[in-house]
Amino acid sequence: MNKALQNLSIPQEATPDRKAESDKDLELVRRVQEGDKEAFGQLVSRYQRKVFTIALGVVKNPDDAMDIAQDAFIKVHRYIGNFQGSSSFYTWLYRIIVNLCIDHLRRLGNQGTMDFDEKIGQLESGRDGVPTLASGAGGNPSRELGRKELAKHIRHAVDALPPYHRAVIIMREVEGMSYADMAKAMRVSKGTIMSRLHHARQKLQRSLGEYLDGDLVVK
Amino acid sequence: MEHVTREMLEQYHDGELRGRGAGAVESHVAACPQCKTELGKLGRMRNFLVLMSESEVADVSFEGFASRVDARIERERRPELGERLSVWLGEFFEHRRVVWIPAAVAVAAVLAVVLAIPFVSGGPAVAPLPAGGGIRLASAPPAAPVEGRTVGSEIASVSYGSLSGMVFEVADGRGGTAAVVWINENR
Repeated sequence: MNKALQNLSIPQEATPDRKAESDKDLELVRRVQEGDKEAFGQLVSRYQRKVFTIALGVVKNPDDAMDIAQDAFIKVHRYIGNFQGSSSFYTWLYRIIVNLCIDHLRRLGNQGTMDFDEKIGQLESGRDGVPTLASGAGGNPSRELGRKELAKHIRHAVDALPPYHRAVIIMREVEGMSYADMAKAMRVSKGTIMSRLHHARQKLQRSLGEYLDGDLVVK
Repeated sequence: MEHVTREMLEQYHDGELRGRGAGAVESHVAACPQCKTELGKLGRMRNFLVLMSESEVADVSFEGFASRVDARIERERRPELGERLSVWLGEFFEHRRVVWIPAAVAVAAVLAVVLAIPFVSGGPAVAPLPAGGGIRLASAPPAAPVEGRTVGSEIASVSYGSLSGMVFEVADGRGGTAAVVWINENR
């Protein structure tokens, strides 16, 4: 890669490490399928934080995210006998998480907290109002911000995204998933993933405004 | 200068653009401050999101998480009361089939005879004590002890395969009598 680009963006490609991780997962899955309880414990340990991160990214509430993380592993245990290994374990696991998150949001929608389907409709048309970070941070982005304070502002911007946009942006940027894996996890085409990512980034860029211009110092 | 598309920039940023496509973006960005800035924003956005995620998850304790998952799996493994009862009954009858099935058939046969007598004989009747063999009894409790028969005595003997039994007539405590079918288990 051109050296001048290295400081700008680091493409996250599938690495040999990921392949090794995937092989390790499959070995653990095989052992769980044979009734090895310890192997299941290892799978939980390997993925509990990632599962929670994605769930939190989508449902926003930490308690709900923790419940969903537990539910995800219960489902993994229940259906692991059906897992054939045609996709990687984490793709399969992330599909479970996304489905649980979507179910959760639908239930909330049914309780009147949010009309989930309406939100989904809005996301494609770009009608949802995304707050700007500048307004959330007091209108002066050219200043120092503590990590936690900045994290809160980013969270505010992410929360304003529709659920599917939150899911793809977290899966891609935080978990480093490929388009193909996200497409499998969300059961949509790669084109849909690219479109959702694009819309999510556009909205975040508007929302985060001048903080992305580079004059923000994070303490 | 013709810029690379936003989609190409994003694909490059995501590591999804390989070979000549990636090379084209790199050469263009090296010479185009505007696209370089856009690529820089994508990189910073990623850094922000990672920072947010790390900051939120860093304080979360996963101590006991695996145990809670295990506990829920264990609870899920324990069947509900109805299911447990069903399994228990299934096993019970499985192990005692030899006794229970013939016994149930015998009882059903006796009851069928008892219920059929009134219709065959044209109405309720009190049968005298049998001289021996067969099944003969009162189909309905009479209002008073039947003449010629001692209440509590055996009315009839029944047999079915290896099982045998008796039919008694007993006082019902209201001045009448009632028929009792008794099956012995002969194993």
